[in-house]
Amino acid sequence: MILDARAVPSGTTIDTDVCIVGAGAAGITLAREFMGAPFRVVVLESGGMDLDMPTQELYEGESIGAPFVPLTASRLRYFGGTTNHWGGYCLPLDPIDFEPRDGFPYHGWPFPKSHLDPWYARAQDVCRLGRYDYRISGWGIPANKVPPPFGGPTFETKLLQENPVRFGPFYAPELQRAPRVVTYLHANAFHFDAGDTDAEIKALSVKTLSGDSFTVRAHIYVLAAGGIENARLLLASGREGGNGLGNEHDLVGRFFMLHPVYTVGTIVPANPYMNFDFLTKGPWVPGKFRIDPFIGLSASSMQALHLPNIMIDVGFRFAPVAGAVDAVKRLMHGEGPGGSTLADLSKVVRNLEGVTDFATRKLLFGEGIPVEAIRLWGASEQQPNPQSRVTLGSKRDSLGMREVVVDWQLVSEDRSKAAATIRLLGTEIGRTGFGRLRSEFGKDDAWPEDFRGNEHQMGTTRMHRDPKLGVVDENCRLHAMSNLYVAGSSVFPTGGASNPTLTIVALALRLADHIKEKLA
Amino acid sequence: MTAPTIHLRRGVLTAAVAGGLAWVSGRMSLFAARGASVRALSGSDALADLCAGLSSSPAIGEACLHALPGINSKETLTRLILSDVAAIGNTFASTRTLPHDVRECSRDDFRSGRIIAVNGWIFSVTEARLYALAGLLTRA
Repeated sequence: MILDARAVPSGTTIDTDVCIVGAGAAGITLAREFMGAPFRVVVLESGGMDLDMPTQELYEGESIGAPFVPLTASRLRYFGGTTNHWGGYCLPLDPIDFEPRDGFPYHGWPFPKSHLDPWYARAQDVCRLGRYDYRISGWGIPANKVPPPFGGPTFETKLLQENPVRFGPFYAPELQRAPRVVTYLHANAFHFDAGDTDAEIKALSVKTLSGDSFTVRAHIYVLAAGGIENARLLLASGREGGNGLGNEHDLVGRFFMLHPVYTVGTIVPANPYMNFDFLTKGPWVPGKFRIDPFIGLSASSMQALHLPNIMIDVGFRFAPVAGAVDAVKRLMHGEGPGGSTLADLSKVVRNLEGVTDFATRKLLFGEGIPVEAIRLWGASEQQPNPQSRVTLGSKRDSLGMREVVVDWQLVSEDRSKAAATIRLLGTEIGRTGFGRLRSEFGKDDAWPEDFRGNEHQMGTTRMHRDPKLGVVDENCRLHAMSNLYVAGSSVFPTGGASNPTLTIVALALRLADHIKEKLA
Repeated sequence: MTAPTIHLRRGVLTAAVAGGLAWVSGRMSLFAARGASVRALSGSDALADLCAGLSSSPAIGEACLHALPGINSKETLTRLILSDVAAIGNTFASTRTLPHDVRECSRDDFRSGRIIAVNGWIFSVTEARLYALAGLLTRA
């Protein structure tokens, strides 16, 4: 069931078996897994069912490092969390992302990708995607249709699956019906009390913006509040004057990672009439997933050349007739997003000659619209960096909790290796006769002008078997705490270049299995 | 994956290089378009002929000249291009074979990492020299 925490009388203590903090992709996945379990679950969600600004403002903080998407814009603080505005892009991390790598300090996970595969496969369904198959050949793109240099050995065409399902509205009805899973909206986890021993959470204090407060006592707590908030709550908890929970080795908040994103450049293809189907997205159908190819480095070249992972997204710039041809398609078949009938008719009339030419050429020669240029955008892997960190500032939010200060820091190799990758791409494009690349990257020692960090906040409670190198163990439990677990991208020790949500969901499913086993 | 909003710089340079690529890819029958039959020309004449047929703009030629320090004469550029063509085993035989030979030379450059960044474009050294030569000829 879903309740309003503002109706809970101040001073109440709620006893439960499992308490989940946060109802985003991780928290909702965990809660759904517990719906049929024989134990009681409480989910605490800071927001309501829709965006409200006083709650969203609890995300305010200060950024003092490299630029990234603002803290109050990159995340959403209400039921469903950031899935309320995400793009729905899903793919697993690559096997190499899990491995220790020469030239990449702190790289690797406590287990290989193959260990996570069963949960990745289950995560596909949670994210409303297709089958767990990320080979282009599995989706009707035969290898022989991929032209050099994008069919290996240096660069490859890869793909992601895309479906921006909003976890909140999509999963609220079943959580509403779940008798043993109680979700409290407008309930802000405020402080974990670990007593004097710092070995076990005794209670969690909760506040509402209406001024009430209550306590949750659970056998197990799961922190699923997001890549930055997980660290914030740990740093803000524990004994007065201490340095937070699970922070014996000063690791909580460190290793903060994002994916640096930037314009790679533009390819002018040698043959604008070539078949670009290998880079074409699947059909757009509301509520359904589609595949979305992109360009990346092969694992062998990443390994041999000591280059980080990268995802290169493509956008075609077609000859001017393209918009009109799309309009014709929409008018005839109702396919594709955007446009209105009137606007489409106007486009067709204005470009009638071009549309006729296109139709004739397609009929006679099977040729598509000529591609003038291919624009490229990159998202790179960031090297784990202990100097990149989230700390607490002196300013407090309206609940009285200290706001975060985020110092996103990259190392010089992040830029130089990304630049080397782009130069390699330009060389391969020229060598294979595909065309020529123009890139502003690498002209000097700076990132391209539009460089920034994206919304993929990771690493602040990183996973490692050694407590001196990680906040949580391989089961996502705090090394120092017997009953506190962390879910979400904050546990990622390395982030590859993949969008993180599928991995977040897979890890949540894995954690749910672990907790069910523990409570059995 | 979020595609950031960018301001793509198109302009003259893109068009110029696209024109050059059309030639490099062999889709533009340069000499046929000029109505020339096979003629007995010297290497330098043939290169000049080739440059005259490129759609390359003076701007890209100037940029290539700037990116090739110490090389600022038609004679030097001609000698370097023709010697590179010879170095990969192709000997200049006629105006018909020169585009192919230069294209091969350019690919060989990319294979061996002989590349140069010109205003962000990643060119082979041979094609940068060719655009530079075209620029000088236009200037003349």
